[in-house]
Amino acid sequence: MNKNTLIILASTLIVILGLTSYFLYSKEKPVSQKTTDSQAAKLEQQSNSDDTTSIEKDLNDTDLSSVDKESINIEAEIND
Amino acid sequence: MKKVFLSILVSSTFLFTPTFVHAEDAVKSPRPFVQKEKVSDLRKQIVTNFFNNMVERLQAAEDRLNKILERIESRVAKIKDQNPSKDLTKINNDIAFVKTKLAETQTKINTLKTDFEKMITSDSPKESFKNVKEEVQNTKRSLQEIRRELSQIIGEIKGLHVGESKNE
Repeated sequence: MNKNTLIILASTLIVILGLTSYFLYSKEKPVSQKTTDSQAAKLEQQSNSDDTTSIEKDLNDTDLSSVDKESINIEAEIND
Repeated sequence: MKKVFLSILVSSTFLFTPTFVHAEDAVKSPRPFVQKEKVSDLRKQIVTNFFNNMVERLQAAEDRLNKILERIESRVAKIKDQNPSKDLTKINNDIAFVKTKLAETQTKINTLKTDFEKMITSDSPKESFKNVKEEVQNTKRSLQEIRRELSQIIGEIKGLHVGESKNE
């Protein structure tokens, strides 16, 4: 086996390694799943007391203004 | 030395051959199409994550209002025990109304999930999303209405002028 054969084999190996790396790298990566939303977690917290002051406070602290905020993001992604 | 080097080369080639053959399948498809599919799948995943967050929040809001209603019912039961002569008809009717609204809202959230599944696999997601968006807004309005109703019930309870300390 001469020197040229070895160079060809080495080149072939480099090409194989390069292609393998390319396809492995370009493979789609999964998007991380966000399991708990901070506002949802906040909504889950409330007193167990049944006195009217406590109930009224939890009711006033119930913020529903942005429960649907992702609607805009979804629309933007779909219409993009 | 040459034999060792040759052995390493041949071994490495066989080691990477399965991946290479698998990758060949991808190469057979026209490259632009493959890229487009990837973006589409990624976008689908992003939209699904946004939707799941939103539903989690809507569900948390519904659960919270449900729990507040249970606390109000507990308060009303104590008032009834301590003050049997008090007329609680309106409060009880309002509680029944809120219970119905909560059940309806839960149905809306469940429908929302089903309709989103249809939307995400639809050929015309833009059109399908209009329906989903409207349902989200309806659900939000229902939650806001329930919240107002509960505040009204609390006002009615306070209007009874019944001391709480002796009812604990």
